[in-house]
Amino acid sequence: MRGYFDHNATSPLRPEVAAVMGEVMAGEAGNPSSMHAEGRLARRLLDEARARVAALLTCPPEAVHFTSGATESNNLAIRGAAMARPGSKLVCSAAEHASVLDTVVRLGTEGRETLIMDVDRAARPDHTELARLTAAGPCLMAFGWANSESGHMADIDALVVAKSAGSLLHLDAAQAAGRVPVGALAGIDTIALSAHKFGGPRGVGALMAGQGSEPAPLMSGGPQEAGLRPGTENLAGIVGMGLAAELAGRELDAEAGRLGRLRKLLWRRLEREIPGTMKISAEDGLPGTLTVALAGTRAEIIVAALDIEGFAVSTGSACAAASPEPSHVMAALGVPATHRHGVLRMSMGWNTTEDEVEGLARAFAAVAERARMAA
Amino acid sequence: MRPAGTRVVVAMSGGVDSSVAAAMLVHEGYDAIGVSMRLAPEGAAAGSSGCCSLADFEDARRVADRLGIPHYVFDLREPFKERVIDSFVGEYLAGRTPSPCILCNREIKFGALRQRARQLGASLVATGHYARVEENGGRFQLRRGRDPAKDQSYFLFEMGQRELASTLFPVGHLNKAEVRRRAEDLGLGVSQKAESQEICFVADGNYADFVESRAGTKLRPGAVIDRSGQQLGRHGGVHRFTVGQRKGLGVTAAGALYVNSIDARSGSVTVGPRSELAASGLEAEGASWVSGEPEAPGSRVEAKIRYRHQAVAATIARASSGRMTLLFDKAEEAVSPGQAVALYRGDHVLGGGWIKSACA
Repeated sequence: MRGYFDHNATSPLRPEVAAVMGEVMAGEAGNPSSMHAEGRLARRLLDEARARVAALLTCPPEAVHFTSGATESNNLAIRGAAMARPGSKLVCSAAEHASVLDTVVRLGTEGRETLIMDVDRAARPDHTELARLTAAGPCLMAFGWANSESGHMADIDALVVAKSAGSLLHLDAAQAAGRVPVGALAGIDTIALSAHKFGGPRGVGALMAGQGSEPAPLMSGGPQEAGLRPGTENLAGIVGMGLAAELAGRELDAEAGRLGRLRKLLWRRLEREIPGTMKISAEDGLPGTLTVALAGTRAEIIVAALDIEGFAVSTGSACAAASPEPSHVMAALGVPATHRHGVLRMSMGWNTTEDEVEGLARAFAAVAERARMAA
Repeated sequence: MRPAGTRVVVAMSGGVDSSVAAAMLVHEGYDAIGVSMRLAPEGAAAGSSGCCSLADFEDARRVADRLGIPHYVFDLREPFKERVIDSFVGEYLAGRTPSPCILCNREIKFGALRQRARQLGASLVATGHYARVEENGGRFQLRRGRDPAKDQSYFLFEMGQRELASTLFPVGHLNKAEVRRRAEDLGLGVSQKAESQEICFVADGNYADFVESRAGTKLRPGAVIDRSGQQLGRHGGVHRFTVGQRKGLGVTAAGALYVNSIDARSGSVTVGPRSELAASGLEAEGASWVSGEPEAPGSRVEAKIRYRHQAVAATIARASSGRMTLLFDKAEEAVSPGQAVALYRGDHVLGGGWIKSACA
């Protein structure tokens, strides 16, 4: 038996979703743009899926635009908005996912005015400074709803308050949507999400863009998705995303509570059995994400050792994978130098069980002890 | 015999030798774990070169997948920079000719990687080196690889009993053609890959440029002189020279001139005719012995003073506390300080040391 603790990388597909996708792929639905019965059937399935995703986000269906995933949605929202608003300054934090951070950095090299803000121990920017910034001129603000490495959640209200008239607020909800309530609250202009983080298929996502906040499309070639995203729709994927959104939305509170308890259980075990372990993630963060830091241990060793023992976990920092210098975000989150190479992320989701958590805790304690002895 | 299921970490570069090594271990029933080492610094020569590129890691991953074993990439850039690259640069700046592959074996493959292997519960490390480890009554012997053209035992002379007891060289008793054939038979997809180059982190082979890019203010320019001290020209840094070098001296003379010695302190590079290159012996330091015991003075050995060198007959004149004096039967040319001397008896490696100076 393997225990999968990497839902923040991708959640396993829900079996109901796999079933309905199989039906759509094998079925008679045609191209939603066609006039005939097959086309109309496809259009109906597309509309249903759109309504389901809209229900998860509490937004009107016409605000939902399907894409290939949150990376595309973030690119579309940020670059598209930058194209639509040439005078705006681009602002994000240093803790963003690469699809936000790299897009902003690239726009900077293309001559746009940008600012990448430092974060505090809760992975949040200084909201007062942010308010000053947006008051000085129109900004395109892009922030994560939840941090993929640590699970820290943004203070959405504070971001909305910091937004000036004439500025736009984009939220990357890839890790949050389908796991915690992600609503199209007043003041939020665009939201990016990915189906595969809540039991839907990979390769499908959406950009919520309210009326008047639509970015310019990045591609040309068709009227699909209100012209924002040309190209024949990935119908099976979109239907799968719709169902996954409905299933995740239906049990949102219960699941958040259950995962929160599992996280507590896992942390209690690790804290007791692995001396010097630090918890990086916060109590009020993503309920299924536990990020810890081990002293004097390389995270990659623990990931490999746990993999061999049958458990999938992840190193805590995508930045660390590209550079031997530990992520400066981890430094900002208060991880001391002694622990910075030992950041590990365990992320749980819809199919994680208590038995798996107990199993992981036992295996983790054993491999951490062995690694410490051999260090 | 080691029990089936013994866990072993096999260093997989993505090349044919380590791929076949991994396949052989799997076939023999070991619990093999493939590990590729990330060594080259960001933006350095590697990447496009014969080692450590993403394409090589992908090859290693594919081979491991084909063999049904896990594969991980471990980041060893920090120890590699501190213990291999910095030393490489420092040695050149000190007027010596470094041998980084030997350091890499000691510090990285059988150092940092071995430590990580133990952390994974693996008591053994295997590589695709062409050398053989043999056990005889609880004592371990290191022998040349069976393929004389590929033998890499020179780079492994520092291994002692403890290291050999926990090391496997599965392809050491094969020749290269057999290794390629096995790779092909197993469908590993790497059977025709080119040989990796000797120094993996200097892809274009231009050591001088590499050293200059990392030397900062430590370059030692100076004079090119002859044995009498007469200046024949100027040079841009002692790191551009190796004892025995003929090309690139920047001086013109009636006959061919060779680098005879390098003095980093004064920056002087002494050149002379080939006849002045001859050395009757050498002084070595940092000596180590495979058996753990130094050879007795008067012992007859064969000495190999650089990788591409046919071992020559010599006598150990003195060997104690890490120092060694070696006398060649016939004078040898181009004894380069900084290079290693590996000592053999037949195809057994006895040990060796690091060349400190040539004896006139």
